[in-house]
Amino acid sequence: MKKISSLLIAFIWASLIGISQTPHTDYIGAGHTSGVTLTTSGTGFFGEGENTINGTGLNQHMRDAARFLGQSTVGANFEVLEELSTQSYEVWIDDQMQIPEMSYVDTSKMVWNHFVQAYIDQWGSVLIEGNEDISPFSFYFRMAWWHNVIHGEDLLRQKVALALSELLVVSEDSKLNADAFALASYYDVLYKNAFGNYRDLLEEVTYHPAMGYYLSSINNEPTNEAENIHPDENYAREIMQLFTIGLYELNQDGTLILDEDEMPIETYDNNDIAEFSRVFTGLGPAGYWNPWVDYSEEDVIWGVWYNTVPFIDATQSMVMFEDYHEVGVKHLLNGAETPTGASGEEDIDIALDNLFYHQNIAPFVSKHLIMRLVKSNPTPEYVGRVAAVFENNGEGVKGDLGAVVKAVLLDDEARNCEWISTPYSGKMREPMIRYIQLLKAFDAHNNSGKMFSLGWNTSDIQHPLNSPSVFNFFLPSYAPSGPIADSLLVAPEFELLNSTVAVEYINMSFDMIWSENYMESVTLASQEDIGLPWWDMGFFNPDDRVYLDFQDENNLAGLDPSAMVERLNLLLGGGTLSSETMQTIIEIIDVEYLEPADRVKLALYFILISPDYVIQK
Amino acid sequence: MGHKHHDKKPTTRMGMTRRKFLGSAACAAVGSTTFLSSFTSLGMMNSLAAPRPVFGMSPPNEYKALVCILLAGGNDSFNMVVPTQTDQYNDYATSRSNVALTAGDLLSLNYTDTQGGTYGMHPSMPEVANMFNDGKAAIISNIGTLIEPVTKNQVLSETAPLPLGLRSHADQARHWQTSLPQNRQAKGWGGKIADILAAGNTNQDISMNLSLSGTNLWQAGESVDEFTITPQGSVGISILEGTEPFDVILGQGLENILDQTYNDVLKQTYVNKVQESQIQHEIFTTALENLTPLSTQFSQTQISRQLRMVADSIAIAGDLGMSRQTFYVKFGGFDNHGELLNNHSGRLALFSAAINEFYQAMDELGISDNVTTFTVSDFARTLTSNGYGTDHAWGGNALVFGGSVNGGQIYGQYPSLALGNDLEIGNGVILPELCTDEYFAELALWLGVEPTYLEDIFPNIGNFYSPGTGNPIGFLNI
Repeated sequence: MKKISSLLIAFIWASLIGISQTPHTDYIGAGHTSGVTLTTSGTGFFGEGENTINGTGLNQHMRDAARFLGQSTVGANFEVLEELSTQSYEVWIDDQMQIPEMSYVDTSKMVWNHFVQAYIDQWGSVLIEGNEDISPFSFYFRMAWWHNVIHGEDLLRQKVALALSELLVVSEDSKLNADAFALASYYDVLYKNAFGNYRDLLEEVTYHPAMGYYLSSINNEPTNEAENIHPDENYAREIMQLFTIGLYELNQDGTLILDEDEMPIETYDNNDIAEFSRVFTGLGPAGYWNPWVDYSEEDVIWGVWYNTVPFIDATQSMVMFEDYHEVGVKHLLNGAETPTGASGEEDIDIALDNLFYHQNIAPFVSKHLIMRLVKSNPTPEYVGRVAAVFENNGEGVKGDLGAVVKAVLLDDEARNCEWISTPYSGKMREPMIRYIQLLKAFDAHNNSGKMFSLGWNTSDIQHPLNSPSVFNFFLPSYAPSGPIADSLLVAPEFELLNSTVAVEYINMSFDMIWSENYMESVTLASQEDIGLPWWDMGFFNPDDRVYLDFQDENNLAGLDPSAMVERLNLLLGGGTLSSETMQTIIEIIDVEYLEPADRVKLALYFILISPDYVIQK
Repeated sequence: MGHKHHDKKPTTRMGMTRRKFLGSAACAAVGSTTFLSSFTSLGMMNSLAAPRPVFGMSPPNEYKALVCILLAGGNDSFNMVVPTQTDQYNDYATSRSNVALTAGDLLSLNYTDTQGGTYGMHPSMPEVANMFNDGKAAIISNIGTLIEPVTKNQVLSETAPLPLGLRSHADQARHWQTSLPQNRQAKGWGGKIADILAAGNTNQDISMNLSLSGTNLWQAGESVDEFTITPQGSVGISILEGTEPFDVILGQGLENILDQTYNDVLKQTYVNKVQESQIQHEIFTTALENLTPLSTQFSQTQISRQLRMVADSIAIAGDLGMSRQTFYVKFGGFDNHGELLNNHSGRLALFSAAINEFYQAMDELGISDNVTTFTVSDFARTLTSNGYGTDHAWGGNALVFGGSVNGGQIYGQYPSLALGNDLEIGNGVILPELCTDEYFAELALWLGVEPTYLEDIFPNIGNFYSPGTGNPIGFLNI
């Protein structure tokens, strides 16, 4: 908090002597209008003289690109922005899709090995077995997730993977918290299929042990009438309700198909769920895994108590145990059925096809991606255009997510700037996205390169793969009371914004900025301190302590505070901060005796908490 | 990795060169998005509806509070309260097979129903069993979401209106909070009660609906929304608490940013939430600071810590200017498709301890007659096992606690748990005979809602009960 004193003195000084503006040598386009008059400058809105003087008209392509990055990435720095502003968005998307993939499993193992090795170095291996502190708990996945997100340049894939993790939900708020590699492997499935085909993704999700555990389809036994036992319905229900088709028949534009009584038509009933539950029987683990004992040669026995996380090898797909798969015809949707004598895998294949070729899946998945990336209330026309691409990518292929993502981002309703001033367009930036964006925009870095973070100080609210249930952090139908609900609009992210969260975010922004501690990485405890727990927060270690880079902003703040605010508008606000908000901030910071770095901090703080930033337009 | 070095000029200068080769249409500058404009086409001004006049509450001055505990995920409540009379228990054990509890483990309840049925409480709930036997707790049996009374044949032949999304979490949790299961847009019934009763509280700057578990549908009314607090109290904007000149200046800047009117509904909703939160925090925290701590000891579990803060909030109700309040606590971990027996036992044990501590605290404050706590849950679970756990079902059992409860009784007929009986609609799903409307209407009447307003709050109530004809069920001393 040392920096506060100089800031404080500057404020007091300025208020005492009445200085409110730094003297400037104005130049055209610098954002200073005092004493400069220009009556015309080309045609159209941007041709207005005022905009040439204040710089608005000159910066518009940067603002457009910034807005695009707000939708298409989890955060991007100024280099990315500049590069994008000189090329077509479509080319940028294509380039992004070509960036080599990382692996969350590999990174999780790297992080875990780092800590385990230090433990072995200190204590010897004898203490390891059965030691819970170095079991692969989910926080190793968290550290890997942050490491990858900070280092990754595949910004679009990261954003889509995160969006998919809010559709095909598993959560560490379960016994998955004991298995970092299950979570990492599952996240790899989402991440690697982000531009793949949704049918493949659905199949990998269905066979993944993390999902098998989370929605209890692993170890699912066939009907046993004598014992009154029926197959577990959990996965059968949620794959239909949440992962593929939803509750009601949809038109391709996502609107409800109504029957002759003007009522919506249910896509399935509880009998259909029972039929699908018979399909998802017989899946068990492929093998066992233990950090300290090699169980790779051990035969898997159906139904033993340890056929669950964290004892199974959750990086391998589940396998079918035919003896425990329910035999017989299963009646699927729209009159389809599985053939007599089909194997378990054939049953699943046919059932997944049954859902994948349902007319609902295109608008259902398309609308989800639109709502995660662009806006909460897309028009039916927008949904319809994207869903048509889901239905057919132009080459006769259904479910091409790469094509769908491109359609979402390049659609006129995403790009056309008229929507910026539409009072119900856009969405609230998710709390976790706001935080990631800050770190990415200002190049979070440290000497060691180890970005082993557990999240941020209010990340119990929202962290990747940590939703409270399979219904994600918020329902897509959530409408906060007041003008949004009254207008029959939705704003799903607001379900997170209760009185406590709204205020904690403001406090967190303040604490981060004035403590200059933006990212709490995890570091090894020093040798003297080692013991349990045997790690520390990163700021105790100069090599691991994370810094953000405000050098350019600091330079600009000395030269031209309003240009610095515009730069933050581009880096954080998608170029859509209102002129009033920017002016308010400039008036606060444009004080002669304020240090440039303090101007940046103030501007950063006010932008982060401003509605113009929190709401992505 | 590591620090990237940039070499850049001010952005405004860079833009000047770019402009020449970028020919596509540029976006209009963001103009006046602040300041309320003429945007009324979507009917947004409706939200500015005038507050309701003071009426509908009786008696007007006495303090009363409802505490709602959502056992989230679908409580397997036929294992929470289990029949113990031999034939009944045998039906239970046959239907439940490997998820049945052992008869000898059940905690006996001093109650025999009109059919001679006897019942036991889950072995991990000794405190609740004692409260029941002491007359401080009641069981509401075979209750669920309904639009109108229906028979098994009507359900199987789909010839009667049924709740939307039966056996689905999202819908059923919603319906328990709205009691309007034919509608997915309805407001919460706790919110609707507050729309009517809140005007009777002397302080209108803080919500009568406090939540320990964040945003929830139950407390969301037309004009009243929940105020969320934590087990430590309310949260305020820290720099506004500072008195140093720096804090003051920063606080003024913050107010300049947040104290604007926006025609953008998303921005305005965000701003409203921050402002309301801060205003309510200042009132709440001032009152809480003056509280003499209760001597009742609470456990350190999340549910106990949440209920301790509910107790503290009730203790300061006078300072807050509250004569009516509701509280919402969500307690998860009940969706046990697998590992049912262990998980369920653990959750019920935490709940049982916490609810007893809370009752002791109300007793300490001398207002146990003025506070009624009740449970809701998405649904009960299938009687039949899926091998390791149980699946989503429908009707089940709920619990009510407090000094005003006519305790020690089971209200509603505990159903036969034999498969194939007249209420079992397949896979051990039990058709409810009591509707949530009856349960909640009784709680609303107790809180002081006049009978004439029941139909506003519970539009289906007429299908089950005629307002003004005594208690809908009878579990509360009104």
